[in-house]
Amino acid sequence: MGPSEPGTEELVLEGSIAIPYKWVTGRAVGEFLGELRDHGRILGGRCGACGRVSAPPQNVCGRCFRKVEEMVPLSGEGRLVSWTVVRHPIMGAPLDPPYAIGAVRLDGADTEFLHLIRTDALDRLAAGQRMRAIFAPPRSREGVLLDMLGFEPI
Amino acid sequence: MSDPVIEVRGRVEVPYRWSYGRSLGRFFIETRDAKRLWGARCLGCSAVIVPPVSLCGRCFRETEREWVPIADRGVLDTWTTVFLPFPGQPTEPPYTFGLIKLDGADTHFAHLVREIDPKDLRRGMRVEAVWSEERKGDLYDIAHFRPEPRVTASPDHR
Repeated sequence: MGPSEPGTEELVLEGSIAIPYKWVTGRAVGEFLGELRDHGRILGGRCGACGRVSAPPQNVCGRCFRKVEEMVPLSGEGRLVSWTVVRHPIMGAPLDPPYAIGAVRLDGADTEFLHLIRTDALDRLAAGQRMRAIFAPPRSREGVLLDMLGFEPI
Repeated sequence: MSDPVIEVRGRVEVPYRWSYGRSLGRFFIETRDAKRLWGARCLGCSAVIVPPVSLCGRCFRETEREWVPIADRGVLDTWTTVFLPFPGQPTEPPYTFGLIKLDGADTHFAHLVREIDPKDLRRGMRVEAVWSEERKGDLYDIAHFRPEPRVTASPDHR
């Protein structure tokens, strides 16, 4: 005696594990996100000890490890330093490929800002190219990095 | 300057597709289509393993040559009542998950135990499966286990 003979049916369980999280931003990052949400403007953080300006701001200076407490308004314009054109779909990606993610050195900052490079001319990107930050409409901004849509060539 | 953001909430979703494999596939096709439970006997130690697995966890011998019919009722050995909410739970807490030795099995079967106040649970109580109307071929083809109704003497019996 036994169960009915196995046919060709293969059972597959489809599910999803949901991992909700809460991330506490810290002081400088919190100020940066608040300014992004409320005014569509970029703040850098200046280290009181060594003067290094990080954008986006670090809560702790990456060079000398002192707390970053001074916020510095920035123009939101800068130069493209490096980028990657993504051609493969990745789970959780903000856009469908192809799209570019780039590192932009904003005017007045000593660090690079990683974000989407919003252009269709992906093969005409060039190191040193001038970029400006662009923002989501005020009502859809929530205080997260995607309140900024990315950078576009000026 | 504006009000700083204090915390950012997000959610990572990890979708998956898990193939049951040969043993569990057959086991759950039987629960779905026939409301029957089966175990597999280990060739080495003769233990009847429910749900069946391809290799005995104790002696690593093959198990699947002999499938053994298993009752949908048995003895509640131990249990845990969960009060804490967390993602991925089978249902809203509080709920009780029991380890049940089904009649004919040598291993424990874990499932929800309902229709009884957890305070009244006792080791050794007999429980029976409540089968779901809609079955998809997973653990919840059985909705939960409940205490087996006790047979009481009828008033006419002397």
